[in-house]
Amino acid sequence: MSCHCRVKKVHTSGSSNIESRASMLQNLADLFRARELLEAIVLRDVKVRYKQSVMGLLWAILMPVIIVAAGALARLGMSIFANKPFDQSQFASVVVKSVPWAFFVSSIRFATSSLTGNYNLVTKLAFPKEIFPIAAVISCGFDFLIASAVLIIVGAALRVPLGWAVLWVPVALLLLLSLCVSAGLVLSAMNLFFRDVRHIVEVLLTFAIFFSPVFFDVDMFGRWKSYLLLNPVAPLLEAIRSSLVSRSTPDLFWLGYSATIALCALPLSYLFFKSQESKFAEYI
Amino acid sequence: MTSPIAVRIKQVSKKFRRGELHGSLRDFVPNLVSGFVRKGTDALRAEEFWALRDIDLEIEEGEAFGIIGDNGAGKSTLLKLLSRVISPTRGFIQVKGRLSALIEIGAGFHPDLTGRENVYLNGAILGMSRAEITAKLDEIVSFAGIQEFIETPVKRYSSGMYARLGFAVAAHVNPEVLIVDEALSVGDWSFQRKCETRMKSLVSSGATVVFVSHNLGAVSSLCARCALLDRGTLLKIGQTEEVVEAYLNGQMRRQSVPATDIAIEEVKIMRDTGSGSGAHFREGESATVRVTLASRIESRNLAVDLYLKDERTYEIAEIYLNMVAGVALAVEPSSRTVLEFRIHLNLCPGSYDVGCVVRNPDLQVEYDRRFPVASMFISGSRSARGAANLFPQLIKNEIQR
Repeated sequence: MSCHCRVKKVHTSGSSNIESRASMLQNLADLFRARELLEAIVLRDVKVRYKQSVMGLLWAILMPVIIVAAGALARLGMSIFANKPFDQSQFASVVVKSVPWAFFVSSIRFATSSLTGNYNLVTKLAFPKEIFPIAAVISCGFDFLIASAVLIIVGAALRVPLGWAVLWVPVALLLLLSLCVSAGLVLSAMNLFFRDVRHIVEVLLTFAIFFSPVFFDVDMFGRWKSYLLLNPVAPLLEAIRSSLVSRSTPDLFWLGYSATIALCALPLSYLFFKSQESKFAEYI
Repeated sequence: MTSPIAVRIKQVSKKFRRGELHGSLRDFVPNLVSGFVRKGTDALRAEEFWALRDIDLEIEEGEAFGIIGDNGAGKSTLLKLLSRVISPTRGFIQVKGRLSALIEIGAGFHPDLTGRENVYLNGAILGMSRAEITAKLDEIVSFAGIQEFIETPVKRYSSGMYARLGFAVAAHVNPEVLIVDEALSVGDWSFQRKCETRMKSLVSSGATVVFVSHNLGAVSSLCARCALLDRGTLLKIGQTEEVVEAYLNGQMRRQSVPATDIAIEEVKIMRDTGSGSGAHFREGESATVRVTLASRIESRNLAVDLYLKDERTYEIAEIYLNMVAGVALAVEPSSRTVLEFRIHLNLCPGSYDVGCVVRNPDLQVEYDRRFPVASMFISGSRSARGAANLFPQLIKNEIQR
């Protein structure tokens, strides 16, 4: 890939104009070298969240539990309206989608303000700044792991049957992670330049649940189904549902659609972030 | 004795904008496009100014180099450029080796984390590996002198403890190039001493130190060479003592004389021997102080007081000239009065500011007060520190059994 991201102008004695461009490969090497720093920042973010808090680790499951409760209620309403029984599989569908959704929302929210929240480090020290949004996403991933662990334990206790389709879950989760990191990179950089980006993101995330199949399944929408699946998160949530609840292979066409977006978004957002990075310290 | 160059700054300029950057999205989008194209041009747009202009500087490996100048001279900008936090508008900067910037002590500390957790976090921020930090943890903690508080969140620390821990981590990075901004202004005397010793041992182990400070005493004790920045330009590079003297002289010239009935026109500290004026002395030397008063009125009972403050603005000496003279001082209307007297500089190395007050003790009128009206810089053996130099001499050193 011949993408050049960080453009550093180097002039010698005013006249000649030599440009040294750091290649994407170089940037990734820098990022790799800074992995221990990434680790330290993730650790800090996780520790700080649980320090001096009443709930401690319960925080990690609070958000999914509330989403599940709201979702179950909405589903119950729908089934009463449709005159259909509210069965276990409907509840399970809400549960397995709520946990990744909680991760999606919190990681984007946290990543968006990650650069401005680390004002001191952004303006005082030089290291790959993408560490901050990435660390924000990973530290939310920690909460996700706790919530998932709880889910797995409960599932095992209830002897919920699993099929081979469960192997699609990590695929969907990795694609979701990629979407979160991409969004985090772009939004954190934008929020550095314009502080209201955070509020816009907040509003979008609040209402995004109505546009994403968390409380409902896309199948309920008949011929409108495809429009709902255009939201790149939707096929991922549906894939998780079908592989865990229906125990069947997800819709590979739509999963492929999400994968294409997620895998294109990652390098593009990284390029965007790196092209803006040199201005961060001055414009923050 | 030409050592290899550790830091090379060539024709570096940095442009900043006053006020808010990017007023609106409408500005932002075209800026995104034209940003890189415009970069490097000389033209200043509205609200833009040069924070640094055509800086050329070479710092040798293993050298301790000082940068001094007033607030706003561009010192911090230069350090930020060196540590690659910002990039130059024009020009070119080369730094050889692992660089550690001590620009703000404890910048990466999180108040809710304990001392130990913050050492790991800050160490990682400064580029140390986890293994390295673990190996040096005890050393860092004892250097900071906070052993018993290492498991306490740093938000409960005093500001001194906070700063000491910050410096301790940074000082143990073992960088090849260490950039220090005002680090020595924290902590008590003994900690400042420790910092200086640590920085000296870094230098003697071959590291390059770039040191920015308002503490001229610390700069001169550490750095052999120095650069003076003034409003974005490099005014002088050379031996620290010469540069410090040029700085102090320049500072005094900028003050103007206010119009009062009896005004202090000038206070000048001069060398007794050799070449006339100079703000730089050695400890224990004597100097001549000349006070020039410009009066519009007559006064028969005038008191002229001089006072001396050190770098931490503690008043360390007061001189009552009418007491020195043994008589009340007098001035004539529309005239100048010149007083000259001699002082002994029983001072420790450092820089000192002189203030002057002209008053009438009977009428309780203060005609003029100026501070700092003069500055001087004392260098010396560094066998003493504190407010006064007692000139210790060894007269016995024997082992008694």
